[in-house]
Amino acid sequence: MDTLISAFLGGFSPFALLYVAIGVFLGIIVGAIPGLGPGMAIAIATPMTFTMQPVMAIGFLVGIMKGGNYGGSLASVLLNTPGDAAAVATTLDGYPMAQQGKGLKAIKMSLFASVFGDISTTLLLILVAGPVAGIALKLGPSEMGALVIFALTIIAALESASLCKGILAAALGMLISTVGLDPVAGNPRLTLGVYQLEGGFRLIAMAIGTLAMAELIIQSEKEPDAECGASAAMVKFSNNPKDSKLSFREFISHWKTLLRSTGIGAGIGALPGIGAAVAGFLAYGTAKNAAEDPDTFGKGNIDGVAAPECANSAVVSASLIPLLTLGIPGSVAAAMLIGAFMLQGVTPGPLMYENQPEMIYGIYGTLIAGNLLLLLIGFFTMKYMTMVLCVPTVILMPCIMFVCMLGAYMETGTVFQVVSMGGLAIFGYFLKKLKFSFVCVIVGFILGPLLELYVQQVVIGADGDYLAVITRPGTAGIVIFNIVFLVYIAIRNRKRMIQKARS
Amino acid sequence: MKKVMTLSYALLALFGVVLFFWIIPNNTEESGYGLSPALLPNALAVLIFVTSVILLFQTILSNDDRSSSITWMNMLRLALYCVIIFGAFPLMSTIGFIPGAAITIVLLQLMCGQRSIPWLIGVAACLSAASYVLLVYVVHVPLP
Repeated sequence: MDTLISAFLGGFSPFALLYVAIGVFLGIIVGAIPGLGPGMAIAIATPMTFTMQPVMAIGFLVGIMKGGNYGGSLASVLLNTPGDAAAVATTLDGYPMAQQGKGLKAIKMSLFASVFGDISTTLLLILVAGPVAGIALKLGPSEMGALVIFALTIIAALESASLCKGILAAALGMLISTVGLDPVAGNPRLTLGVYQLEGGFRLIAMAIGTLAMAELIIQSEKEPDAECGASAAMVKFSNNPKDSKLSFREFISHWKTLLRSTGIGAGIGALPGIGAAVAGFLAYGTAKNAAEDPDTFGKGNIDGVAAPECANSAVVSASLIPLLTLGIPGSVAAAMLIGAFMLQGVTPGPLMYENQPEMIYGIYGTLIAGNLLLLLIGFFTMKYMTMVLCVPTVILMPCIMFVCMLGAYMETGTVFQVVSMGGLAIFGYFLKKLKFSFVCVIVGFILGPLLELYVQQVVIGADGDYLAVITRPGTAGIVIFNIVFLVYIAIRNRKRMIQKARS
Repeated sequence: MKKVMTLSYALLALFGVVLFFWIIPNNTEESGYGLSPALLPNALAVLIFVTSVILLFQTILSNDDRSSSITWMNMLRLALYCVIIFGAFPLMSTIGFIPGAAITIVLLQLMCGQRSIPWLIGVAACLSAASYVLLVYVVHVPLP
C-alpha cells in the first residue's frame, strides 16, 4: 500500500508537475485554435514522449487532453467558432455573454466548470476502475472478443451518420492493422513485397496522418487570413469589473447543473464512441429543460456555459475507464494515449492493475495534478491565451504541418515513417472529404489486432467446440446485447430515412 | 456529391473484390497451424465489399444534390502537398537538415497562402533552427 501511495504522490513530484504543466499549457494553446483539437495535439506530441518516463509521458499527454478541452471554449466564447466539436454547445450561450461584455466571466465559468467536471470523474475513475479491471481479468478471450466487437459496433453506429459507413470505416482501419507480420507464424502479410511494411503501420503515423495532416491540408483550402482576421472578429472584454467577476458563491450556486452535467459526461465518457460533443449538447439541453427560465438560454445564460463545459470535461477522465480497464479506447484522445502507452512498452488493459499498479497510481496522481494545474494555469493566463486566437493561420498551419512531419520521423528515426504518414494523410483526406468517420478508422486500427488475438485464443481453446464458446453466459450476453443494439439502430435509421423521404 | 460518392463506393467494392481474390492470396503465407493469417483480412474484404455495395445502392437511390467538395483544384493542391511531404526528408538528407527544413517550411507556407517575404524567411529560419535543437539536444534522434 505504501508503494502505491508513493506512486500516487509521484504524480506530484516536481518533474511530473513540470511535464503536466507544459502539457496543460500547450493543450490550452492548441485547443484554442479553431479546427485543432486535443486529439490532434496528442497525436503530434506523442512521439516527443518516448524519452520521458512512462508516468511523466502519460501525465504530459493527459495535460494536453485537459488543457485542450478547456482551450476549445476560448474560441467558442470570443469568436463564436468552437476550437473543436466538444466546444460547439458552449458557443450557444458563451458568445452572447461575450457580446454583452461578459466574455471573461463566461471563460471563468468555463474553466471552473471544466475543472469541476474533470476532477469529479477522475475521482470516479479512481474508485471504479480497479473493481472493473478485477472483473475484466476474469473474462476469457471469448468475452473479450465479444466486447471488442460490441465496442466497434457502438462506435460504428454512433460515430457515423450511417451504420454501414461506420462499419466500412472500421473495416478499413482494421485492414490497415493487418499489414505486417502475421501474429501466428510471423510471416509477412499484405506487405506487397515492401520490407519496411513488415513492422506494420504505426499508430503515431496513422494518427498524425489521418487526424492532423489531412485536416490541415483541408483547412489550407480555405481563404487565408494573413491579416489577423480572427482578431478583428474577436469580442473584447468589458471594462466593468462586475461583468468579469465570478465569485465562488456564484459558481457554487450552479451546483445542480454541475452535478447533472458531470453525471451525463461520466456516463457518456465511459461508453466508447459517443464523445464529448454529444455530452456537451445533452448537458446543455438538460440544463435548459431543468431551468426556471429556459427562454434565457441562447441569450447569454451562464448555466448554458457551465453545463456543456462541465460535461465535455467530465468525458475526459471517464473515457479512460474503458481504456485502463479493458484496453478499449472510448475517444480519439484515449486512442492516442494507447499510442503513448505502446511507445513506453506498456499495453493498456486490466493486466496493468496486476502487473504495473505503481504506474496506474502514478497516472491517477498526474490526473489530479493536471486538474489543479489546469485551474492555476487557466486562471492566471486567461487574458493572454486569447492572444493565441490572433495568430494568423498562414503562420500557424505550415508550422504545425512541419511539426507533424517531424513527429512522424521522431518515433522511429526513419524516413519511411514520414512516407507512411504521408500516405495515410492522403487516405485521411479522402475519408474526411467523403464524410467517413476517422474515429471508426482509428479505433478499428487499434482494436483489429486485439480481435485477431482473442479469436486466435478462442480457436485454440475451443478445440472445435465453438457452440460451447458462444453459449458461455458472458459471451452470449454480450452477443445478444450487440444484436439487439444493431436491430435498434437499423430500425431507427429506417424510420429516419422514411421521415426524410416524406419531408 | 452523388457522383463522387457513387464512384467512391464502386471503387471500394472493387477494392474488396481485388483484395479477396488477388491481394490476400498472393500476400499471405499459411503457417499450417493455428488461425489462418488470411482469415481476418478475408473477412474484412467481404465486409468492405458488402457494405460498399449497400452504400452504393443507397447513394444511387438517394437524391443528394449537394455539390462535391473534391475539385480538380483541390486534387492539384493535394498532389503538391504530397511532393513536399515525400520529398522533404530526402531533401534534408541531401543538402543538410537546416537548409532542407527551411526550404520545406517555405514551401508549406506558400501552400498555405503566405506571401510576405519577411515572414516566409523568418518563420522558416526560426522553425528549422528550433527543430534542429529539438531533435539533437532534446529527443536525441539522429538527423535524416
